[in-house]
Order: sequence, then C-alpha cells, then structure tokens
Amino acid sequence: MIKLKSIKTKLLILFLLVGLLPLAVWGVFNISAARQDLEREIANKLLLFAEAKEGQVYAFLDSIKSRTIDFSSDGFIRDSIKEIIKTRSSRAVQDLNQHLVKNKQSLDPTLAGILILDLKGKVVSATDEKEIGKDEANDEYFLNGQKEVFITDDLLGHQFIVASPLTDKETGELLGVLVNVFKTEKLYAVLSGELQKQEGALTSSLDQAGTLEIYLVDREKEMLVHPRSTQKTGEYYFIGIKIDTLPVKKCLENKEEIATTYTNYAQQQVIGASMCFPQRGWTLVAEITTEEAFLPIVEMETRLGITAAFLIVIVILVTFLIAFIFTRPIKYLHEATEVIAQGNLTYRVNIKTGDEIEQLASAFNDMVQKLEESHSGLEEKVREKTKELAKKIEDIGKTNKSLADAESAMLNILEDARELEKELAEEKESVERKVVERTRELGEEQARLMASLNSISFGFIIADTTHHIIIKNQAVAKILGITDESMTMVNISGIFQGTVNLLEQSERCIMERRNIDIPEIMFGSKFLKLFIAPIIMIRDHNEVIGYVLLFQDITEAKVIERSREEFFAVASHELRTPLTAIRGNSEMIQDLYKDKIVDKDMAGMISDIHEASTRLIGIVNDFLDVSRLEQGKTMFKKEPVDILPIIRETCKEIEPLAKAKNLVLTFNEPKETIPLALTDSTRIKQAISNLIDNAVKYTEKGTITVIVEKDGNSVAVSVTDTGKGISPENQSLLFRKFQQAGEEILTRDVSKSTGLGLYITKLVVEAMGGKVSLAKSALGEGSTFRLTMPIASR
Amino acid sequence: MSKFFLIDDDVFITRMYERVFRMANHEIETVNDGPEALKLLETMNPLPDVIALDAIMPKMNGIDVLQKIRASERLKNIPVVILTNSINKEDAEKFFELGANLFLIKMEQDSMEIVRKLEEVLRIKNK
Repeated sequence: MIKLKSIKTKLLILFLLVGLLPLAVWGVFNISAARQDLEREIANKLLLFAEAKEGQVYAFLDSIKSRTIDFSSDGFIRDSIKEIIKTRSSRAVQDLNQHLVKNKQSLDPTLAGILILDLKGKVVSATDEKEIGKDEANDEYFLNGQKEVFITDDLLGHQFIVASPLTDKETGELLGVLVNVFKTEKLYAVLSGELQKQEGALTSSLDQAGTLEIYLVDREKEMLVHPRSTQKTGEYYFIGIKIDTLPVKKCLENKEEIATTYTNYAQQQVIGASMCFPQRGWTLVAEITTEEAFLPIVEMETRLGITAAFLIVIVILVTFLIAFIFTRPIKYLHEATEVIAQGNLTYRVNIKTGDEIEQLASAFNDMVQKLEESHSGLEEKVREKTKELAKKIEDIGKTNKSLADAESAMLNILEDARELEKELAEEKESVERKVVERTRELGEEQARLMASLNSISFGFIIADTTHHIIIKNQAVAKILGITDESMTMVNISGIFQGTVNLLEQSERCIMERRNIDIPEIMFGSKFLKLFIAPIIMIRDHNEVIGYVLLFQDITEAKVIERSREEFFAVASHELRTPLTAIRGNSEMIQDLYKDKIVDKDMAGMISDIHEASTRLIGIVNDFLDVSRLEQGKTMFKKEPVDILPIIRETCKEIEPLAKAKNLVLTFNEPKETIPLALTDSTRIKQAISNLIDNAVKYTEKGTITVIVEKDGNSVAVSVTDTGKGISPENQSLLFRKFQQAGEEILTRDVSKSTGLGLYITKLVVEAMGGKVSLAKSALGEGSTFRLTMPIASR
Repeated sequence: MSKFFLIDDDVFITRMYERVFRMANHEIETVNDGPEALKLLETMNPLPDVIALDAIMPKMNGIDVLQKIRASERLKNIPVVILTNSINKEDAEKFFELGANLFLIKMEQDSMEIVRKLEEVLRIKNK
C-alpha cells in the first residue's frame, strides 16, 4: 500500500524528480537541436539536388535546340523548300516528307513530328501529312521562329515545340520555319533521374526518399512537368493543377530561389527547394514531406521514451527497498508507543540496527523508564490534595452564615418600596379621569368627521402601515358591494384580483411616500378610479403612519366618453364615404372630360365641387385627429430625430405658397450644433408645418423667419412673421379648440381654416413632451410662435 | 389587363371605382354586400386577380368576408386589399393577422392612386 503522505511516496517523488527531470530537459533540448540541424541539412541537400536538376533541364533544352538547328542546316531540306515554294510540286513535297520521316524523325524516338512552314505560316511539309496546309501564321513559334531558335514555354499537348529559321545556304535569305515537336517524356525522365540512371550517371541519395517530388511549374502557376504523371499512372494526372505555393510565388515575384519548410500543393508540410528559370517563367521545385524528413527524430524520441520508462522502473524498485529498510524500525517504535499509551509502562523496544534508529530506540526506552518512576510518585500527591479539599469545604460553611444576615437587610428595603407604590396608584386614578373626559371629546369629533365622510360619494378608507383599516365611510360598502364586517384591506384587495394588486400599490405608496393614481379599472360592470395617498406625520420626523384610499365610481363618465367615441367613429365613416365619392368623381370629370366641358361656368362649378369636397375632407380629418388626440389614441414614436432636415423640407414645401403672396420665407441655418430631439419625425413635421403655414396664411407682406436653437434641455423652433400681430385679449384664447383669433386682428381667411390647427399642434407637441406657445406678439409688428421638444439623451 | 373584384356596401363607391378601373383599362366587377360577394366568387370564372374589400358593411362585415375567403381552398391565394374609411389602426392589425395584403384609407388617396396601389399588390404577388 502506498499512502499519499508516507515516506515511501515522498522518496519516490524525489527520486523521480532527480532522475527524470534532467533526462527530460536534455531530451527536449537535443531533439529540437537535432531537428533544426536535420531540417537545415535536408534543405541544403534539396537545394543542391534542385540545382543539379536545373542544369539537367537546361542541358535537355540545349539538346533539343541543337537538334533543331542541326535539322535546319540540312541541305536537302533547304533545297526542297526552295523548290516547293517556287513550283508547288506535290512530288517535291512528298520527297521532303519522306526525307523528314526516314532520315530525321528516326534519329530520336522522342521526336513526335517535324513541320516546315513557309513565310506565310502555312505548313508545306510534315512528317504527318494531315498537318500539311494548316495555317500557323498566328502561332507564337512561327512568329518567333523566323528570327531565331525558339522553344515554347508551355507544353501544349505535352509536347515541346522548337522552331528555327530556315535560310538559303548561299544568300542567307529566309525561306521558312522548321518546327520540331518533342514529346515531354524525356524531360520527365530527366526530372525523375531515370535518364541519369540509364546513362550510369551519379544519382543523389535523395532519389531513395519515397516522398521526394520534383516538378516544373509554369508562369501561370500550373504544373508543367511532373515525372510521376507518366511513370506510374501513365496519365497526365498531375499536369495543369494549380501550384500556388511559397517557392513558386517567390520565384515569380522576386526571382528568389529558396530552401525552407512550407505547405505544398497537396496541403502537406514539406521541406523544399526551388530553382527559377526567369526567361521561361518556370519554377523547378524539389520537395520532401517533413514527416519523412524527420523520421530519424521520431526514432530518437522513441529511444528517449524507452530510456525514461526503464529509469522509472528502477527508481520505483530502489525507493521500495530504501523505504523498507528505514520504515520497519519506525513501525516497531510506533507499536511500542501504542502499548505504553494503554498503560503498560513496563514495555520496552528491542531494535538492533546499529544506526541512528537504534539510538532513538534506546532513548525511547529511557523515557519510558522515567515515566514509570514518575507515575508511582503521582499517587502520593492525590492523597495530599484530598486532605486540602476537606478543609475548604469547612470554610464554605462559615461563609453561608454571613449571607443569611444580608437577606434580612433586603426585606427592609422591600417594605419601603410597597409604600411608594401606594402613592403612585392614587396619582394614576386622577390621570384616568382626565383620559375618560378627553376620550369623550374625541368621540364627538370623530362622529362629526364620520358624518361628513359618509356624506361624500367617494369611497374613503384610512389604513395604517399594516393595512389595518382605521376609518372607512359608507360609500366604500356601496361601491364595492361588500358588508362592513368583511371589510379588511386583504378582502378589498381580493376583489380587485386580476386587475390591480391593491396591497402592493399601497405598500408602494408607503415606501415611496408618494400618491398613486390608478385612473381607470374595471370592477364588474363598473369603472372605478383609485387614488392612494400616504399619511405623513410632519411632527414625528415625517414618518408615514398609513395611507388614504379613495374610490370614485366613474362608470357614468365612461359611458358618455364611449358614446362620444362611437359618435366619432360612425360620423367619420358616414361622412367620409360620400365625400370620397364626391371628390373622386369630380376629380375624374376634371381629369378625363376636360375637353368635353366647354361651358366655363360648368367647369367652374365642377372645380368648386372638387375644392369644397377636398376642404370638407380636410375638416373631417382635423375633427378626427382632435378626437383621437384627446382620447390619447394616437401613437407617438419617441426616437432621436435631427430636426434640421425636417425644417428645410417643410420650408421648401411651403415656399411656393409664400412666393404666391410675395412673401419671403427664410430658414436661418443655426451656427451652433443642434442636438437630436426625442420626438416623432412625422408628427413634429406636421406641427412645424402648421406653424409656418399659419404664418404664411395670415401675413400680407414682409417676411417669415424660421430659427432653431438649443434652449437648456430642449430644441426650440421659432417662427416669426411680420403680420398684424395678436391682441393681448386674444392671445390667451389662441390655443383653444375651434378658436379663431378674430378677424379684427388677423385678416383671416376663414374658409381655409377649421380653427383647429393650433389646437392640434398643441396636443401633438405636448403629447411628445414639448411645448408650443406664442413667444411674443405686438399689434402691427407681427408674432413669434415657438415650439420646443426634449433633447434625446445619449 | 387584370381583373379586380370590389366589395363595398356603398353604391357611390362601387360605381365610382367601376369607372376609375375601367378608365385604367382593367376589368372590374363590383357587388354591394358580403354574402352576395361570396356567392358570386364561388362560381366566378376566371377568378379575380385582386379583391378589394370594404371593412364596414351591414350584412356581413369585412373581417368575416376575409375569413371566409382565406378559409376557401379556391380563393385563399387571391390578394385582398382592405379599402375603408375607418381610421382605427387596431382594425388594420386585425385584418393583417387574417391575411390582408394592404390596408388603404379611401379618403386619404385619390382614386387613380388606389388603382396604382392595387396594381402594385398584383405585381408583388406575381413576383
């Protein structure tokens, strides 16, 4: 058994630390160093390898180039082409074809074909007769091959095309272009190392690596040559795949040749090296997967792991051995202490290890010896102590006697106290008489209070802070329909369950020390208005001692309100339908039968009908607007609004109206920044438009000026006109319903106004938390209307 | 040319829109109460492209008519535009819940605008 805190465990941990830690540090350090060295070595090897391959590729290109030059200087070919161009003899063509097949193509098995083009780019002779007559005038190799020997960069159809100029031996005149088409197989063999092996040349040790890949990539970052594509699969599987890897990028961008670790086209981590062919835009890449490259490191790690495992086993065995030697005597000592603790003081231990533990054992035995001796002395002491105790008991008996004397003194004091009590009782009787008298007076006062409370139609309750009802009037029972006996706040609250939590509301009233107004709740078929107010004792440190609860039966008022709403709904529908028909039809007559109405009066009448119905619809709309605003049925958005564009737009809309009256309407753009207002953009536009519209309507000449400014916590819009002004007595009536400021003050076109405009503006602005007012007005000088809205807090 | 079907108890309205829609080169059929409308729709062939429906009508109100239309396999995919002069926005919500495509207040649009908006509903549906 290994206990967590035993010496064995501690030793084991210690040995493991001492033994394994250095091994681990050494291992990690060495492996990472070896890994770096290996990576560098392999990268260098790959670089050398790639360099060698680069040379071989160049050599291959040179070989096919020189082969082509060799062909182009063939006398028979030169003479034949001259004859063909001159005579167009089919015989000459046939001879030349034969010559190409037999004497030229047979020289090299990788030669796929030979073409001879005339100066127009037309094929005049070929090893494959099907090619004759084809037009190659626009091909790269024809264009370049007229000037010098040219090898194509991309391998169309896995072939190299090499073109060379054909010239007259004597005159040096250009006769045509000789084109050799080579199969790429040979280049595959060059890259794979097959060719070198066949020719007995030295091969690199890297050729043995299983994951070694060596390939060419063209300037479009596409695989150009990959030896494995023909060697193993016999197909061109690899060719044309996109190689957008680090070495290709470096080569194409900076012509930089690298040897490093990166992710290759197959998303494998590889070590690779690259060589660039700057003129051809090719990149030669040689790479080997890191997995294979680092195989020796993996082996090294495995060896290290095995060593560590061995070490652990040895450490454990040594630990157990040492622990056995040290802990056995300690265990004996422990057993001895247990025996002695049970009272056997004659027990001794016998350990003969010859070391410090034996010394400890003999010291232990000495100690037990002393303990045994002192134990026998103790019994003597107990006897002495018992004697002392008997003496003390005797002393306590004496003390008791003096306590009895003190008790009799106490009794005397009690008698004095009883006399004092009698005097107090007499005093109390006289106070009680006074209290009775005062109570009677209070009773009369309360009766008067109750009589007056009972005479009001409101339900009235006073309760204390624990919701115990102190006073209630008769109306409570009448309104709520419950008996006086069952009237507790809990029961009353129960009646309203589901609509309002009365106890909670009362509690809130007490806690927050404020009135709570519940304007309308349903109670059976009735509508009630509730009001709760805290009772605050100003004398007693403003303590809340209870609350007043008022009920008002507002059923009747609700019925009236509801019938008014219904009236408006019905009126709106009934009025609007025929009005729509009148307007719609008159509009159609005007729009579509203009030409047929010759009579001027008739046209005028129809126009009047249309205008009158339009105005009437406006009036009905105003009425309905007012009705809905008054009932609080209109919904307002409250969102941050930039007021400036709204004012600009409104001014632009009203401008034509002002121009028609020769008035100047200006909006003074503010110099300061105007904060966003918290309002409903549609509704505020309606209000501002109304003010400007009014100003234009009621001003005969001069200017209308709109300004906007920040005023404390509000954004304020002012509209100033140079109209006739409004007299003080009319100013107070201005914002009332159906109010018309009076013709004697404003030359007012009654036919254009319902008298509701300013009233609607006021309702709208106030519903959004703003204010609208007549800021100043003087007769003959004009008026300024001002509208505010709250600033949107951030 | 599309076919519109207008249900409105007010003959002024039905007569006016008959003219308006015809002038806009559309086929229009009108009827002045809900039950009659539903009866006609049962056998109507071809079915209208859009139904315009008044909200407040005596025999059967717009809500009931709309419910019947949406419950019918034959009619449920026809767009329905509510044409009303009631200004109650809560009503509008109820109609939208029942599957109305548009809610128009007659008095707030001039007549040609109504035609354009109904054409728009049809265009969206056909998309």
